[in-house]
Amino acid sequence: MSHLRFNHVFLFLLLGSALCAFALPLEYANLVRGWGDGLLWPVALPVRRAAEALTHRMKDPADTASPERGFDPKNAHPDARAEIEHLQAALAQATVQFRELQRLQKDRQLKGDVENYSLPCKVIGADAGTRDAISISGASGDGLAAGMPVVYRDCIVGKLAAVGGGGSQVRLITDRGFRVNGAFGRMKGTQFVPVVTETPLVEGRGGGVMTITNLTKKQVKDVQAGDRVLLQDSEDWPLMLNGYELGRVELIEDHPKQLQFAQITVRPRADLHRLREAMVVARKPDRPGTK
Amino acid sequence: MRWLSFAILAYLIIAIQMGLSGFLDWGGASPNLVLPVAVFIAINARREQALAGAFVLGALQDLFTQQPFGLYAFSYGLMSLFVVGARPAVYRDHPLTHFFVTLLGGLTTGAVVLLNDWVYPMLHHTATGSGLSVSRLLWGALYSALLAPFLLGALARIKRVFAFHGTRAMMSSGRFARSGDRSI
Repeated sequence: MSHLRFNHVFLFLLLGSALCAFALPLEYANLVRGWGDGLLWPVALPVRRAAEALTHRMKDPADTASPERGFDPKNAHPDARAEIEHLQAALAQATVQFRELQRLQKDRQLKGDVENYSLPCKVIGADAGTRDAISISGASGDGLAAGMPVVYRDCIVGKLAAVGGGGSQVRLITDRGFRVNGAFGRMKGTQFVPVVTETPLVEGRGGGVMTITNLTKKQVKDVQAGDRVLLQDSEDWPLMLNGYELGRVELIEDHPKQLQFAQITVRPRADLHRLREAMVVARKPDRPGTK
Repeated sequence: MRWLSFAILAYLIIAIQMGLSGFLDWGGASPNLVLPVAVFIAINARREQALAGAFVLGALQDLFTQQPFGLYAFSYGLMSLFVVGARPAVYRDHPLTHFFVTLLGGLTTGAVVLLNDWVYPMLHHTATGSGLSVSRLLWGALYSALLAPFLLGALARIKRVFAFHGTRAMMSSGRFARSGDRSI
C-alpha cells in the first residue's frame, strides 16, 4: 500500500474511532462486547487467581491452609515416613478444597428466594480500562441478557451491560454515572432500624465508591458513618432485590459546590473488583395468576 | 512485523490486564499495562505497521472495557502518531525513553478519556455523572510509565520474535536515526 493511501486509510480509521467513541451510544457498542471475554479466560483467570493468592498471603502470611503439624515425620520409621508425608500432603490439599467449597457455599447463599432465580458465574477479570466493571463467565447461551441484576451474598454488584457468546460484562454499582435509589438503615443489636430520610440517589463515582448528593444537611442529620445503604428501587430492579445492601456510609461531609447539601460517601462492603464469583438474577418469580 | 507474534502479545497483555485489574491499584491509581505494549510497537515497528498495530491494540482493548467503543483505538492511534514522529530523536531501547514515551501516551489517553467523559453525556443527553478524577488519571499515567521500563525491557529481549524492519541495524548501533535512512 502506498504511503499516501495508507495515510488516508489511517486517518479514516482514526476519525471513525473518534466518531464511535463520542457519537455511538454505549448500547450499540455493547453489542460487540462479551463475545471475546470467554477467549481470554485461559490466561486471565489463572493470573487473577495468582494475584488473589499473593494478596491473601501478603495480608495473612500465617494462613497457609495446612494442617497443624503435631507430629514430625522425621521421627517416624523410615518405611512409614514417605507414607506419612504423602498423607499429610493429601490432607492439606483436601483441607484447601473443603475451605474453598465452604466459601463457595457461603457466597451463593442469598437472602430470600433470590437464590432460586440466580445463576452463579465465575468472575474472569475486571475492566481492561478505567471503568468499574467485571467480566463473568455467564454467556447468552446460559439465558443471560443485558440489564439483568448481579448480586453477591446480600449485596448488589451491578447489572449486566454486555452479553455475548463467550462471556458477559457487568457494570458495577460504583461505576461513574450508575444511579440507583436507596434507603438508610442500621443494626441495633439484632434489629434492623431504618433511618427515615428523603430517598437518597446513590451514584457511582468510580474507584470503588459511590456518593449521595441529593439530600440537604438537615435531611441527613440522623445519618451516621457505618449506616447501611439498601436498595429501594422497584422500578428498575426486581422487587425481591429491594433491601439488598448497596454499601455502608463511609463519610458525611459538606457538598463542595452547594453548601446546603451534604455529600455522603458510600463504599460497598466487599471489593467488587476482587470477587471470585457473582450471582446473576436470570429469572423473575412468576406473577400470581399467570403460568 | 510478524502479525502472529503481535496477535499473541496482544492476547496475553489484554488478558493479563483483565486478570490483574483491581489488584494493582495503588492510592486509587491503576496502571494500564496495554499502553507500554502499544508504545513498544510504535517505537520499533515500521511506520505503517506501528500506526496500524497501536490502533488495533487499542481497538482490542475497547472490546474488554465499558468505555465507549473506539476510545482506546483513537488514543493509541494518536499516541503512535506522536511516537513515530519523535523516533529519530530517541534511543529506543533506553529505559528513560520507555518511561517518558509511556508517560506521554498515558497523558494523551487520559486527555481523550477526560474529553469523552465531558462531551459524551452532552451529546447523548445522559446523566452528567460525577466527573472523572483528573488526579486519578495523572497518577495512573505515571504508574504505567513507572512499569514501562520493566515491561519494555523484557519485550526488548524478545524483539527478534516480532521481526521489526531494520532491527539488526538498530541493535548494532543502539540508535534508530541515521541520515539517509529511508526506513524511518
